[in-house]
Amino acid sequence: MSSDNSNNRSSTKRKVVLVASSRTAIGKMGGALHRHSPAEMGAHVLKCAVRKANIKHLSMIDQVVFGHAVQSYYEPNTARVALQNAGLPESINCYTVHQQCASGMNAAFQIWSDIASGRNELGIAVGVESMSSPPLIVNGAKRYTGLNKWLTQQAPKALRKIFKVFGPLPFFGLADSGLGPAYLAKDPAKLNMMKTAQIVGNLVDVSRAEADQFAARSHANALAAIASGRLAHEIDPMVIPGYGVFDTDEHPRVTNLKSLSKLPALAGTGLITAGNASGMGDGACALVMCSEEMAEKLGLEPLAEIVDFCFTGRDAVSMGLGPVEAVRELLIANGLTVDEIDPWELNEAFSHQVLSVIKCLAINPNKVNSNGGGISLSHPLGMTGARIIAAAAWELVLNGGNYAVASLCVGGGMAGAVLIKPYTKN
Amino acid sequence: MTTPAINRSKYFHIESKASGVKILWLDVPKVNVLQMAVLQELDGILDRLANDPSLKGLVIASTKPDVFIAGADINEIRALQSEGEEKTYQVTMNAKRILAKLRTLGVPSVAAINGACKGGGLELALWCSHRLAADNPAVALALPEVRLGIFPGFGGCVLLPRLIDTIKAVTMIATGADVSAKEAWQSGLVDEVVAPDQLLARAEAIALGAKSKKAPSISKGKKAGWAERAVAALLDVTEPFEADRFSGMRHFVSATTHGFASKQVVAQISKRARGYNAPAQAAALTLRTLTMPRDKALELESALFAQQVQSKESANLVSIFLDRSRAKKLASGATAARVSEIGVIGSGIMGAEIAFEAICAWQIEKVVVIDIKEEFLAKAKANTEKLMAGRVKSGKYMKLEADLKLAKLTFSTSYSDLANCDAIIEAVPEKDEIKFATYRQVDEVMASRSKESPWFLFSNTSARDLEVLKTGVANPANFSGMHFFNPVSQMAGVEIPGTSSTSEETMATAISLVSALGKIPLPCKNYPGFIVNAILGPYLAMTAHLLAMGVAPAAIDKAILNFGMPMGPVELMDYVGLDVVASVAKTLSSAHGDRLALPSLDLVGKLVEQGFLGRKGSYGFYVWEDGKTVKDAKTRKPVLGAPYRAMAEAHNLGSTPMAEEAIVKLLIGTIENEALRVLEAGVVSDPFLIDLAFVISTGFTASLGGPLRHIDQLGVKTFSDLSRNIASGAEQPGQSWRQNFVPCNLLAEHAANRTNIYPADTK
Repeated sequence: MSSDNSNNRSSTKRKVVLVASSRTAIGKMGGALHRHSPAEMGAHVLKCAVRKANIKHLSMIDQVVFGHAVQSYYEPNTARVALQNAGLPESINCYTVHQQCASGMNAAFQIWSDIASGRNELGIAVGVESMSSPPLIVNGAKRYTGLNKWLTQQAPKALRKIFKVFGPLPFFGLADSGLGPAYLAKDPAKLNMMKTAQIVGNLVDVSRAEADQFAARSHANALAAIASGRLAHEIDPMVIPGYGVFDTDEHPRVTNLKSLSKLPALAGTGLITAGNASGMGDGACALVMCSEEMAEKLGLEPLAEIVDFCFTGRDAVSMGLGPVEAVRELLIANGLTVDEIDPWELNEAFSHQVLSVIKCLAINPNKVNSNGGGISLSHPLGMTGARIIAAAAWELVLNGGNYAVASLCVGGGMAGAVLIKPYTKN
Repeated sequence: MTTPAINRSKYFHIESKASGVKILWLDVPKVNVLQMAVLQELDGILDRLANDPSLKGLVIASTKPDVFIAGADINEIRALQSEGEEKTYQVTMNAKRILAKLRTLGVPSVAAINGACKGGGLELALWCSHRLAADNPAVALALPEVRLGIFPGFGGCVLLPRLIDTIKAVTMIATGADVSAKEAWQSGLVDEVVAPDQLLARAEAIALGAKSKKAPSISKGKKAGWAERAVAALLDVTEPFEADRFSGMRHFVSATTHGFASKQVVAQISKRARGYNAPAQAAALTLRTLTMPRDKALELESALFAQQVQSKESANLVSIFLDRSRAKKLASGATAARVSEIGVIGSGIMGAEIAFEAICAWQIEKVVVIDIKEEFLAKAKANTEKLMAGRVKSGKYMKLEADLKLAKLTFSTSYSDLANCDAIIEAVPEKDEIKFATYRQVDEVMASRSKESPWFLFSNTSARDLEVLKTGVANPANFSGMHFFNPVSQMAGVEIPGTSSTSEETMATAISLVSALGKIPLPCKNYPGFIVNAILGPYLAMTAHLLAMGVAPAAIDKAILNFGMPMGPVELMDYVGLDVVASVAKTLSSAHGDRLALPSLDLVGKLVEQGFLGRKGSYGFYVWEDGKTVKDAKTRKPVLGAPYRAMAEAHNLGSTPMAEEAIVKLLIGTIENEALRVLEAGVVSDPFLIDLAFVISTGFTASLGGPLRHIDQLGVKTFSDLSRNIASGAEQPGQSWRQNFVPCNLLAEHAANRTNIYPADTK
């Protein structure tokens, strides 16, 4: 993909602006949002984003693209279901992309590149994830083998009937759905994410103490941003029957280095703890983007300009270092250096991972994630890519700066990065 | 009796005996391999024989001495790799269709095995109704396909476990190991072992229906222990097959229980074959075929074979195999001089072993070993005799042959005995002054040489600079290095570093001489450490850094063993000697800068100071006894030596948590980056030489094809990106080893252009 980018860069492309963003507060896994399907959360942010951007002629929206990592079979094309839930015109084209943690960022890239190339004028990208709801299902490959096969095809008729009605035995799926830690730990081909963080920490030499320090800072930053009302700019509260108004991220907590350093290391890594890894959460974030001309025509107020994207692949074992190459290539393509970027939004998949990236790129850590990140706010896979774009844009709006970069690493060995700058009229 | 009618075609001669038995003589030019053309011809012959009412029995025999059928044609396997899966499937199915005709002739078919019977050859024998083996040390039966990253594809995986004990069959297929005639008879693989001169007569008799003398354990059924019986009951299915055996609940239960036991066996094999995938695949397939009717099993074998042939592992192993012969053809234009008489100066372990290899080569008529003292020579003589006794014991040579070979040896303290030698290999101690003195004496003697032909001088140095050494010889054009690895008899590679003055004729002669000795020539340029040690040195230095970071020796060794190398680097340091490691590190860091220096917490240096040198003494990092590490009685893991443990306690080492993958990335990354630097320095003419040299000399996981092929397969950009990531922070104190990961210009260029290290026209 990056090679495609570099080819396009030479051609003239149109300015793409971000006119509004909207996100839910992020719920903990099993927390306030645990009963909401991704499409419901997506519908909420779609409605809020359209309202905030002040788009009156809804039919002018060309496309809605969702980034959603753990997609489900009973809610086909999350984008379409969410659009229908939100009551937007059905003439709008919808599709859902999946690039693990970069799903939300890739959705934004789809909207961005269609506008930059002149194919479209106005679109909405949404990153969404519900980590509370994915069912632990039996995958197809296992459904028709072994005992499951016997139960479906060879067992006495009565038993077969029961099996048909109630479905395959869930416990056969538990160990096999990819979320079951037992399977991950046993199969060396499927990399356990904690392991990749440890590997990256080993290779770049990040200690447990540094990592815990960074985790403590992340929580402190997030709590400060909540207290100061900084995050309220990004969040559109939801009213949840039986819960009330949900307007504050659930995951950040009061903690300190001492209690973090007491946590036991997990899965034999010796370095990674529940405290210095990102949390699991539920949430959605929408980004409304359009061409400069369209913004002018509709009288929309741009928040920032989205300048460029870069996606790269690398070896899966050191997945966490992905942003190093993605950012490097992004900056080279745009003639910038690391020192010219302020602020940085680097997703905190793990402390070791984000610290390794900071070390390799020689970034001033004070410029990074000043309002918390994946460790404190938690990391709903599909949502994060969109959230960090919004966060970086808001940081430019509220605190100034010439350029912002948002970047994240992607399971399986990839990374995405996006360059944002304040909007100036031509 | 009339002369037997002989019907000749391209590969087979059919001899019709008066008894009604036909003998099918296989005679493929050069060596008997089972090429597709051979099978096609066999197809026609078997069709004709099936319609021959006078046929009473069939014997398949070889016209080649000591070889029945050596296997399939590796070039045909290479050709299949560039075709699609479907082609391979058709080819193997077709081969099995042809071979199956041996069983439908209606008369006995007997394979008369007189020598090597491997791969496709053994599979052909398995399709016969009877197998007879000659009582000859040359007889070796094997299914060595796993060594090429594949498994038998002509029915071996299906037929073998139905013929002999399941575990034995799985072992043969998964290890590719040779089985002698006697072992084969005991396991039931061959029906009878007969004297070589009786082979044909007995084969004819059996083809006519005589009963073969099966091994007592096979014919009577030996009493097995309960555990053995339980495993056998779970695994074993022997022919004939009942149709209902493969359906219904009964089959489900037996297949499931079989599945549990097979999984254990496959897991065991997989654990042992670290870094290689084919053995476990082969074992799993072999066991799985037992729960299926034969036709379905044969089809499954072809399908999996077709996939396996396409694997990277197979492509890499076939490449390495073909590279071995490619290296021997590297002499550029110049013709090699004829070498029939060799001199070896220095009768230490290396000198004696080189002399031994030389007398074993049939091209060499005389070998003169020179040393300064008679007692050294006596020791060398005993050494070569011991080595020869080993070859006789293993059945490689007959006693008479061995004596003839030993007779080629002359031991002398006088340099004048060298006068008739065509090539002189110098293996004296690694000191410039000793070497110069030797060269002076050689030049003096050779000045009065009566032979017209040119003579050459080769130095078996591993650490001296050949550009310096060449100043001590009279004719530098006829001088080069010839670096044998220790132990010579086991290490196949020989580096041939030329100097700037070495003539092409000298290189060609060296290459042909090394090939004649049965070794693989690795021509290269003079460079610190040549190819292998230049790359191995940084790897050991990196190991020393990991140890100083506090990573446990066992964790390092385990990571590298799991990567597929035969020995972990900590054990390797002990094995080569810690003093050697320390001095090599010093040489390399003075040649390449402090990126190769040992860490400030120099555990290796400290052990050397205390007199613990590794295998040579009784302590290094591990405890050594009789050249082996001492293993813990319970865990079967090597025991750490007390000197290391004391240091570990003092400096709080051995508890740094480091992921296995991280250890591998650091150590193998060091090897691969250094291999690129050696290539960049122009030490070799072609990247394949580095891969070949490193694989055959260090046991680098051959399924990866060597360090450079591995980079290409990872992707040059992927490799370069990670290397650069690891290199960041190299300026920090104590982190100078990270400079090893700074991509060299060659890598940077390839990564920027996204082109492979290997040029596009070679695999």
